[in-house]
Amino acid sequence: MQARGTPPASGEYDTRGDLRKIAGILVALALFIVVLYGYIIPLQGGLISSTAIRAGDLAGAQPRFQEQMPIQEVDLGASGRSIFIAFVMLTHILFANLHLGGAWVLLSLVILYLVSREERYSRLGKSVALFNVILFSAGATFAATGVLFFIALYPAFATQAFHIYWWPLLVEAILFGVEIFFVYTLWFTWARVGAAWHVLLAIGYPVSIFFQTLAIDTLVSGMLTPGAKTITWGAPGLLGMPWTEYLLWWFNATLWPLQFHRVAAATSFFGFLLAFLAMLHFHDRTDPPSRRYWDWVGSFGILWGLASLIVQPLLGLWYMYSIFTHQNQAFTNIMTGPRAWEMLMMVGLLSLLIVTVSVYFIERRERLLVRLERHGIRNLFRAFAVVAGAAGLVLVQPAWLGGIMQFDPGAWSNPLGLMYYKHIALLVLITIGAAIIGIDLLVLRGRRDEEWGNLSRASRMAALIAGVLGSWIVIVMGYVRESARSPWLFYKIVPVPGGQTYPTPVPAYQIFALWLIILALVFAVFWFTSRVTSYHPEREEEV
Amino acid sequence: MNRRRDRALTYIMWVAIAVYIGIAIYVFWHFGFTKLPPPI
Repeated sequence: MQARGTPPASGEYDTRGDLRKIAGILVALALFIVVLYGYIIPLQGGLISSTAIRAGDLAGAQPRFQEQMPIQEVDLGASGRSIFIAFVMLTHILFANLHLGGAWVLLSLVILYLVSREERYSRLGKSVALFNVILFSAGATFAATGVLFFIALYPAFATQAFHIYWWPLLVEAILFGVEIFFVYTLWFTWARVGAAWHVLLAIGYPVSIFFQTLAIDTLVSGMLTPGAKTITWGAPGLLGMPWTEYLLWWFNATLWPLQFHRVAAATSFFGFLLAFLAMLHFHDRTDPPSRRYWDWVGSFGILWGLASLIVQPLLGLWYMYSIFTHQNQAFTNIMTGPRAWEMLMMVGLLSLLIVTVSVYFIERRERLLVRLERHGIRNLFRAFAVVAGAAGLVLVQPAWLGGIMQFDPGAWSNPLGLMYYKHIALLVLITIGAAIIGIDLLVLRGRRDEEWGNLSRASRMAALIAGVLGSWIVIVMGYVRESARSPWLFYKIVPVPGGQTYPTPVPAYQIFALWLIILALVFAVFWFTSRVTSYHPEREEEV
Repeated sequence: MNRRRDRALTYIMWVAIAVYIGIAIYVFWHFGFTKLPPPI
């Protein structure tokens, strides 16, 4: 339930909070981007394309996998085709993640409601279901557009890929229908069917999207770690090559780590997005019940985001290890080569996310902790923010400067950029995240309900920043995987057509502009959709 | 009874968090420190 009674008058608490902490986060983010783009990327060869660096390898590609059709340009320069694909697929990822991550959050809301019978779980669950029903078509549209772009811009690759992955992609296509059936029925029958049906629909939704993602991940992972050294076709029939060979392509070396990492990343993204939208609704609404409700939603979203965030470094390590053992050159591209800056970008955003979440909890629980005289916890939250900041400084250290590869002659090795230190820093961030969840959920549980609605501007801004960073990191991850593979479409089998005239991956400055455009676009769509799909407490009788 | 159950649940969740941190340390040790190439 929302806190009962009227909230305290605004004069009883500081409605601004400590905005210096927010300014600090934004300055740290700006400085990080400036140093990364102005200093680290140029000095690590990040502005040189993989097509140029791996030119020798490209010469070894079999002629039958070279493009036979004329290159279709799109009037956006040499990287135009890659930009088109990056735009459509990264945008698709953000819409698709609403389901891949949101479905688990929705299931949790259904279970929490059935166990506790607290109205807020039902209200939020119904809002999430409608939000995902409406935005389903946006995700599907971008997916279909992506397929069109692949066929038109990379026909040689598309011919091979859609042939090898015909069966998984057919399963994926069918699951589009299953997925929308579950989520639409769940929303439409909300509170009209029994608990067992509710649970069945709420379980069917995440399970169907899990397997749909698994189906598309067979292709996505297979492009980085193909199931064979070349593509060999057999006779016409239901199977174009022996069954055992298909299995090697579909269930390739990086399928499972990619799949589980994606689920965790999508859930984290959805949690932070929920917090972001809740903060906008909080600002938008003036009635106390709504403000208490959206304050609670923000906290609920942040906890989901944080819990899924601290799982990702472990899954990421498993993923990196799989790439290291099965596609070593791609591993060197992104860890000790010209694309290493992308990993720095990712861990930089991860560190800032943990710092931002710490600041959210410092600010959000300040009043409660003072009242309960839990000064130890207050100090602990502050210490978490400082230690997370220090861990972040370790993580964003470049391992070397002055060479394309870490071991190039003349490259300067940074003693602070040792991977050992970074592993420890990641462990520190994981521990901080787990401790914050424990304290907020277990120590303050029950006492938090007295405070909903007293949200300071600083905590609101921290949640908004977490929402943006939580989405940004997802599209950075997508870019890292794609550029690890450059200049190949199927690694060391099918090259990106066009050779040196059309270098890949998308250059650092262009992808940065693209990230900002995509984030602005999807957040506008999310907010306008959320305005019509959210059920507010005061309007209960209308819906 | 309810309070007892609450307390038990709280302890269980703390133990779960501690176990998770333990797993994280093991995974980082197993993959990060011993199996991935030694840095620099």
